[in-house]
Amino acid sequence: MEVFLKSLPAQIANGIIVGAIYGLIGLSMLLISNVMKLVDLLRGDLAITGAYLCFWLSALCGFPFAVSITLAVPLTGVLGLVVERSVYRPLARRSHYAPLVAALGLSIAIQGALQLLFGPEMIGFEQTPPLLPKVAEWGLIRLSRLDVILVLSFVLLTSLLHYFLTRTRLGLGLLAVADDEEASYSCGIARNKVYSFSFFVASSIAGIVGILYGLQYGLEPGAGFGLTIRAFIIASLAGSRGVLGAAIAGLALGVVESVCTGLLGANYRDSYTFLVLLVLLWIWPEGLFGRIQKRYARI
Amino acid sequence: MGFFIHVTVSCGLMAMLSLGLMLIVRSGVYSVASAGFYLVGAYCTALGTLKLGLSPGFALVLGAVLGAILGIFCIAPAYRVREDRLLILTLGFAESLRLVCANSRSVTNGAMGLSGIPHFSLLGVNIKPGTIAFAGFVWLIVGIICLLLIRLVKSPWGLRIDAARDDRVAATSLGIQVARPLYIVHAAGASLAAVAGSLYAHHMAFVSPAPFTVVLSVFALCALLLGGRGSVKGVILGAILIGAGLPLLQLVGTPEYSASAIRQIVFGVALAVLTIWLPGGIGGIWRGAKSDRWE
Repeated sequence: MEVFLKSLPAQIANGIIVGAIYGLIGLSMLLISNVMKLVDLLRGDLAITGAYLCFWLSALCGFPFAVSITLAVPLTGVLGLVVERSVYRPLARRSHYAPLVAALGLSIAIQGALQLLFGPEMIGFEQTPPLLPKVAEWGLIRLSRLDVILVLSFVLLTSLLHYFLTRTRLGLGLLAVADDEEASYSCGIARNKVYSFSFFVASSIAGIVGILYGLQYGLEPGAGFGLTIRAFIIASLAGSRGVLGAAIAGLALGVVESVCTGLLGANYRDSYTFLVLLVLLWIWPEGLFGRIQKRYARI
Repeated sequence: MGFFIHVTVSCGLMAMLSLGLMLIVRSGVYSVASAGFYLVGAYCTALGTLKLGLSPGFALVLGAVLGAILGIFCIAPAYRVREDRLLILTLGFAESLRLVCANSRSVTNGAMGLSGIPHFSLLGVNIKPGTIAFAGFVWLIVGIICLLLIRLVKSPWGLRIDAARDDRVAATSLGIQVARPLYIVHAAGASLAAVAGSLYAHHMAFVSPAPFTVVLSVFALCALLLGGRGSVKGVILGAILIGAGLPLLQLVGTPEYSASAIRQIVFGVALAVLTIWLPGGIGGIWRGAKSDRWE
């Protein structure tokens, strides 16, 4: 217990860094689940695919790192667009389950393809930009340059997205579709364009998340699954509260996970997350900040 | 011959999994927890026979009962949660069960697994795995389940499940209990998966947490949708296609990981394509129904 208390500040700092990644992927999920009213089970896999794309461009094709990031992020966005057009748009209106089932199939197909192309073992980015040296140290808390970049990009992307959604015409259109699809349609907002656009933005964010995740923890084909689950938890925690809600939920999930790992050991790490999910869905079925939509009569 | 029996048994086990899933899906809940209940059955048999010295038949029944209890627990929030969230909940449930087995090293030997599971025997008759008798026994159970399911669909009880699925409010207003059939159906589906898992443990004589991932649940779902979720004949056909496809694809790839990768690609894409273009499955084709309406 004493050891735990001593390492608590370091656990929390670590949790905030992990939480930055979770918050961003949660944002990406939130954008889709609020606009299209569906859960995207491909979020994490898209993120990891983006990271592998960046790895492929930089390590195997020999592009400079900065160039491969600027190529990989929009390419991930385009990939998301393809998924939206080919899978989600035809299925979204059919039932709640159809898009989920199709996405589940595609998810394991993507994992299989990554495994076939890059091998099943974990690979790391070559640290061409010197990211790892530590820049600050207080007691047990050690921050590398990468940690700082991670938290900074989290803050930057969150505020950019918030600005975009509340101040620009396109962003307001997106919010309008999220709020009431029929009404926004009758006001002349092109629904399908908004869908495509939100998918492109969300998938680009996912690409950035994947690259950051890969730099921090290394890449393996199955890593997307955990990211998807966490993105889902954060999106349902945030409900309709939007960008800031997702950011806070992401940080909170990161800290809870990190502290639990410190307290109870790393073996059950994913189980803590599922436990959070289980408790969450039991107590707030519509999300922490969500509106209660009466879909069913209570029986 | 050994390979042929292996394929026959894995088809039978896949049929059990997807028939259990068919029952659950009929109640309107898509679950991807099959792999979790499959694991419960397999570990119940492994631990029961190896550590507690139970007879294989008793361990099988124990696994089925435990599977049923966990199945009810898994579906308990069904009416509080939106359908798409429920699917993710079942996914998390199965994955947690696997993590528990992978990490309690002192009991389950962790990722190393448990080996040396004894032969299956029922009422003093020893049914050796890898023989025609074992394959026959597996398909006998599948046959019994099929008969029960066909009876169930036409029975008043089955109609009640359909009514509760199609319109919960209207069903309640007609005095049909909505919640209890859901729990019973889910418990039955989960215990079918547990029985399949138990037979799997005897068949392989070895259990480790590795094969019980979401991928397995996706294969079961794929078998169900390939055959068409409303028709028993179709589901059996789907299960045979997938159950035979998995070991046959293993012959294609040389390194172990590329075989599993190819499987994931083939069946993952198949699942997506099926849901988009052929929601009625093969059973839907021979009924001439292309939509995903129920029978």
